[in-house]
Amino acid sequence: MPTIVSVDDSTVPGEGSSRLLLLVSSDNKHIVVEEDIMSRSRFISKQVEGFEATSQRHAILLPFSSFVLNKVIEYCSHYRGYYLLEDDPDAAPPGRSPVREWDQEFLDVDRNMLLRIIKAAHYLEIKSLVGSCARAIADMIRGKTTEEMREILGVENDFTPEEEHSPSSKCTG
Amino acid sequence: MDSEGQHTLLTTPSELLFHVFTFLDVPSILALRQTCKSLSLLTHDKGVWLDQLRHQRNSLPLPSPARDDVSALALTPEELEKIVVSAHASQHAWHRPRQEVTHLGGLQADYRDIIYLTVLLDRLVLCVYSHGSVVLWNVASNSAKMRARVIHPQSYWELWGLEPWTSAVACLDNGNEAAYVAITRAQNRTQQGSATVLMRIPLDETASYEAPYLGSVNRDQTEDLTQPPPGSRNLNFNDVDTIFGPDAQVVRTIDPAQQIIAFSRTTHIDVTHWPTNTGITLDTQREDVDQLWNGIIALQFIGPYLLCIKARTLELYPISLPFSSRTSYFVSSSLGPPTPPEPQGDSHDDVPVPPRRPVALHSFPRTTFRGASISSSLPRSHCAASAAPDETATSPIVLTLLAHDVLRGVFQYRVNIVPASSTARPSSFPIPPTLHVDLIGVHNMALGVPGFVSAAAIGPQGRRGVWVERTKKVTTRRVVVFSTPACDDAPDDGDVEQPRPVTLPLQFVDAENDLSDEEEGREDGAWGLGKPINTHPVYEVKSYDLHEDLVQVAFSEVSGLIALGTRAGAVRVI
Repeated sequence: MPTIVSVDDSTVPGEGSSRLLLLVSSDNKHIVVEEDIMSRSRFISKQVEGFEATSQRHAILLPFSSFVLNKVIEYCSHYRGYYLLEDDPDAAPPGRSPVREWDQEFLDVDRNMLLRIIKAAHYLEIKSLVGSCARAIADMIRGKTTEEMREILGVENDFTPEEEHSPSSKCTG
Repeated sequence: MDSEGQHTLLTTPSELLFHVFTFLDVPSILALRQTCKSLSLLTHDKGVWLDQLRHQRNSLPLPSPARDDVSALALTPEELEKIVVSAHASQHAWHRPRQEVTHLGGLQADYRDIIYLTVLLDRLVLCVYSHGSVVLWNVASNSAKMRARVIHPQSYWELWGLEPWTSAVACLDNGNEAAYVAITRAQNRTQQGSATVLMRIPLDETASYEAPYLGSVNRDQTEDLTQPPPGSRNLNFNDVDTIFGPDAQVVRTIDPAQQIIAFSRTTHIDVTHWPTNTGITLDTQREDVDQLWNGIIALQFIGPYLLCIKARTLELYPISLPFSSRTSYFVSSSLGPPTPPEPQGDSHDDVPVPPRRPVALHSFPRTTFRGASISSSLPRSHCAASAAPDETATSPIVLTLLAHDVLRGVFQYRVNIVPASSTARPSSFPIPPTLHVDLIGVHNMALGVPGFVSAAAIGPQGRRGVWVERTKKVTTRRVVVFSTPACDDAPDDGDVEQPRPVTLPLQFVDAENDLSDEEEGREDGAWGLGKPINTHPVYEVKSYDLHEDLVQVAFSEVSGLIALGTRAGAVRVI
């Protein structure tokens, strides 16, 4: 029987708080979170709309671990009640997401974790978080040499020596 | 999708990788291309380069196909990448000292006194001399040996009168196949009146460069230039028009689309529609500034207006075709063209023109400008995101103005014009246009060692500028370049947006009024409010006598090529 975890003391239901959601991570952790915290996620919002249409609420299964999910919930809790342009489905999409200092600190994690967060944010359709992660990944490799980039990103050089010395042949991949 | 396995970029959806690329600069994308095959493939995607291009539009001058998305989308990914990479490279090359100097040759020995110098289509240097020659060089960067051709106006213009030509202006025709060149001088020595030759010079390179043009003279190499240039060609008479005007006209600007040309005479403006020989004259003198000299230094047609830059003010006059009256300034000359128009009426002095008030005016505090250079109107997207694309009639026009005061230095302004709107109200009560001028950069030469600015120019896209300066008691002439910083209100990488609560705090109602007071204050305030222009000296030349003095400067904003004209009449490209 999975344990029920409350995410954060500050999100314990209080006066005027919204309804609760049950999220289930891929490692089968059950996490209870207030609905309005997760409303930043288009994916969750659509699920909630479904609940309201059918008057049936159920757990939402997510394909990533509680470790990543908790990180995403931390992000959403931080911006609870805040308007971020990128997450506004009615606003015109901005060019590059703006720099937010808190996000930079929040995403000061290793590459593996960063990629897990961006994939989770993509799945949950949280555009502001996808943008901040993309910026953080770009910050890791900007201005680096090709060799440094391979190391940072964990990619193998799969060019043949001939391809490596003739840039044009790389076009075809 | 989960957790324990290594997450590499390659297991990340390409949609997310493209998102990462939007935060990278051009060198990083090119370096990333070398890492592995799958990333290489992604970096060839058109969207990656289109996105880079959109960022470059905020700060860099771009060749015309890249300036809007419609034409940029028509490019192949390879073409697009090439434009983006070369625009990126030009950003660094623009500020670097110029090592290579090319002296443009093919000139007759008596070519002196340059009255006009410009660079057309990023590769053609056009120079007009006071004796009436128009010289055109192709200085495409890929041809090591530059080629020149020399174009004389129709021979009888050389004969007609002994007065030197005093002013000239050139611009590209719509479609860029030809250039209009207008050259003005006094009609003749004894009688009043000005004469202007308007030529349309074809720029079709494939046809013209097969002809035997003169080679250029490389670095200090001299040639016998006394022979008439073999490449000179007579223009068809259809290519030439003549315009007669009152005394002391200075030709300022041409609008090929409307076929109108504008001249200034101290504080008067003459505008002529050349196909019909009709025109208007505006007396722009205003009593409140009479005590201070406020002559016209530049004119430019902007949509339905004529922008008039004076020494101390910037004014806007509506220009609406057709003009009702025929221009009637001609003083007969025995050496004139075959069928001059009959003199009609008296000279201008006898028929005073009522003073005309501008529809909008801006005063420059404390400066007396001697020269001004104006960019073309920039698309609104350059400067704000709040453009209303459906209201083309009243969408604001944004220009960059570079003006220099000989002693005080160089001043860069952004000029916003919101054209009059006649759509919202009945046409009898049109909303007047609004003019808003912001000082965006200053190069203050009144501080420190006194210096002088002899020539200055801003690019048509308003992104780059150049001027020639010298410091007092020093023989060195210095060519200085700068780049316009990206617009303040454009989204920029450096901007830090703090999230704002959904519930907005109460705003003071007076906030807007305070802002306008501040604007007024800025008018009176010192130029200290303008940011110093970030200058880069790129070239220096010693001028012990006045021969080497650099008196003309023109440049190609996209390619970064700078043309300099000396007092002795030589032209060099750096």
